[in-house]
Amino acid sequence: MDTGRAETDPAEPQWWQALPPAETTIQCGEREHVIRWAGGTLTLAAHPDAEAELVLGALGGESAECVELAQTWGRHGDDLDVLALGPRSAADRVLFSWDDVGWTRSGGPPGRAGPPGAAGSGGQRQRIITALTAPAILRSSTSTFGRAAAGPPGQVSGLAFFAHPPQDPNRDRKRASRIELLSLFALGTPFQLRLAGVVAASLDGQPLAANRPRLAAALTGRLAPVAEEWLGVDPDRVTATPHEGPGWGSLGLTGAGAGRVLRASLPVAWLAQVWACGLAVAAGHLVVAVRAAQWPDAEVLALPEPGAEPAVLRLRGSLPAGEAGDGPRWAVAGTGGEAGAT
Amino acid sequence: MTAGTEAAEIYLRLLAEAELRQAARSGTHWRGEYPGSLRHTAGALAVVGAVDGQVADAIVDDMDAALALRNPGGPPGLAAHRIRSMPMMAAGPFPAPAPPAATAHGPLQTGPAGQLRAAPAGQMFRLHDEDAPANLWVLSVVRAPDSTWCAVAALVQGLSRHVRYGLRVPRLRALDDRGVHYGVHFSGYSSETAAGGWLSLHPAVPEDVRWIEFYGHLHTPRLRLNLAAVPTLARVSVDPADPASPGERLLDAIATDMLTREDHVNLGNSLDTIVAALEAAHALPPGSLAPSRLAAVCQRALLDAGPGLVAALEAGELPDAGLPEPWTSVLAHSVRRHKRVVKPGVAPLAVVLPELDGIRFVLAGLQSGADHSLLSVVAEGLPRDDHGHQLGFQWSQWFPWWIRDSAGQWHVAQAAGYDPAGQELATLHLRVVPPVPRSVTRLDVVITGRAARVTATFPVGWATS
Repeated sequence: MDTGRAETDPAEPQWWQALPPAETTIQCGEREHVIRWAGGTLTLAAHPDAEAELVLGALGGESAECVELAQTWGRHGDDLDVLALGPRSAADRVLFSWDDVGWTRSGGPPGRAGPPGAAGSGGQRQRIITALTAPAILRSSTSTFGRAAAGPPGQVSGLAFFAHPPQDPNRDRKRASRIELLSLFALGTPFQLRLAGVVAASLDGQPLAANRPRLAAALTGRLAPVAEEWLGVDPDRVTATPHEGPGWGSLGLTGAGAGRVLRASLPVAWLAQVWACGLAVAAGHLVVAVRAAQWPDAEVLALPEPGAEPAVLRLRGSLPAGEAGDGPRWAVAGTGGEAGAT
Repeated sequence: MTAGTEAAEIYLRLLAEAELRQAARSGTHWRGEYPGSLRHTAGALAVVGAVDGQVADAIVDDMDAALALRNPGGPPGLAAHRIRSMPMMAAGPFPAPAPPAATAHGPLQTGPAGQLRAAPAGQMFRLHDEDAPANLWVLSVVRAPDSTWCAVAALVQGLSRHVRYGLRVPRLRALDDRGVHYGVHFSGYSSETAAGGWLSLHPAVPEDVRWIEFYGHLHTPRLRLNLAAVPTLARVSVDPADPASPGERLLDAIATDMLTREDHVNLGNSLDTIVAALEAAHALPPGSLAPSRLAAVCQRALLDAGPGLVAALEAGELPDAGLPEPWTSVLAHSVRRHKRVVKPGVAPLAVVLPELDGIRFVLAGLQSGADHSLLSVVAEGLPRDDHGHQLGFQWSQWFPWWIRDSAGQWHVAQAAGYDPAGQELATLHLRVVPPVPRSVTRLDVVITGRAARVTATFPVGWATS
């Protein structure tokens, strides 16, 4: 079953070509099955005819967990919540376990300490799950509020009045969508990063006006730690906006010392081609675009410093043993000099 | 999406990113502590209409969820303080301004009262419960075609008496001059030393009824109220007001709110962020002095809030702005070490004010205590709710009201919430600081709307038992 690969011009490098395959296992019925992501596609080795299983499931049969998960992956391929909730860097750990997934589906953990491996008591996890699956926006599409009326002299509070807004008819759908997304996060960091890439790539070439604030936040939230690593600049002084049009965008540094401000304009595709592939900083350069890639090799445009022309770097990636969750490491395999605007 | 709306949403989302980064880095959210200002700032941008309320809600919810996902077991950072939601501003930050009514001056209450009628009462039940000897004052009766409200206030007799479970307002019924009986429902507050609120009569009392009697309390004679009593004589004027942007009004409301509270709202650094957010959203006009006034209040009231604003004021980066006289009057009282003691008292009022921004207020009574007074108000036309709750302080675009007493002292009156409950009329209690002493014989109430200002001057007749 192929899920996640867009139809694109074969001459154009695909955003995922700089990524190595990733694997994890999930409980599927009584067995553990391997979920594999490679070449921009989620594959289910244990379900070679997933399409047929889906048809059977639609006719009333049971759908395998693996198959449902692959469907979920496809449904959230353009879900901007992935960028809002997901990791800002490979080191930014988004913690959601399969136990948590089960609890969100059943309405909460049992009233006891969580299972081995799940940190926090049942009550703590319940609060977390509530925050994740029943935020205000999911509870109602209108106001839900209460407040104390003025108290008498000498007393601050008195009766509380409450208004009861109508139920949001979309509430259950929104909640189900949120739980689905959380189940994808339970696949682990490598899959979280790849899903973010899928979402960012889905926006390539799309009108951005309606989503510009969300995309500005997605870019800024991910460029900030990168800029800190690259230049030592305060991440709170980094802003990025979506770049539309030809070229890789722009980047400027103003101020001095701790007051330095970095402003960038980057295409949303940067999130997929560069950031999701762990390429953002390589050999002291900020990578701004990928010219060609086929894991473990990538040819990129990279800035040695703000204001400089981008240089062409040929990079080679490796996966540190036991640190797959941290993503690939990239080292310079060669240089190609300065590049013109692309 | 307008440029200002987009700028506001971007500001809010980037603030969320910064605070998520800081919280994750410091680990404070793991302990349930979340020092950030996202909630206050989202509320501020929503109430001035710079961002859609549901968008602001979604941003805070996403922040909440993002923190929870980075939490290995503790409670999520924002959940304990969650904004429930942001009411949407349907057509902009404020209702379309009503043109100011023709300026009217005169010895009597002026302007059409619409369908509202108010009659002062100032009559008292003596409550003889064993543990709660108290006086229940009926201050006024306010009538609309479909509802009837009596403002009431009760005071324990003798300062040494305390009622552990609060004063009990007796079960009452009412009878009119035609022999029709009414059910009576009390809503309001009750404490160890006082109670107050509203008696609503069901069904509504028809317009042609001249009196009603309350009965039903075993040890108290029937209490007859004259519904045809002459309203409080008031001189009312309506004048054009200088228009102020929603952002400026919000900052001024925050400043005056801070003037009135002994336990100042913990806005901390949020004030700095709120001002920056309003500027980024173009919700403050260039050169606005509202940030300077807010900084000056923080500075002069010695509040631990808005450190960036105070520093900017002291460094000359914010222009110096003199504070309006009412502010300095209240501020001088609030920082006074030895405040005068105000004895408990109640005063009936029945003043129907002219319509302002589509809202008509009725002043229905005043109750004073040691540290503040309460002004009982009925309002017609208020929207479903004000928008202050999500900020951590009360704010609504029709408040605060400013009140000058006959001794020249200014008071500020804030709405602590109201409950229209889907009905045409809402009942409110405004918290008045400093409290109005019983030596006061006259009040000037000043209410500023979007484009007009109503001033009502009326005598205060304190009730005596």
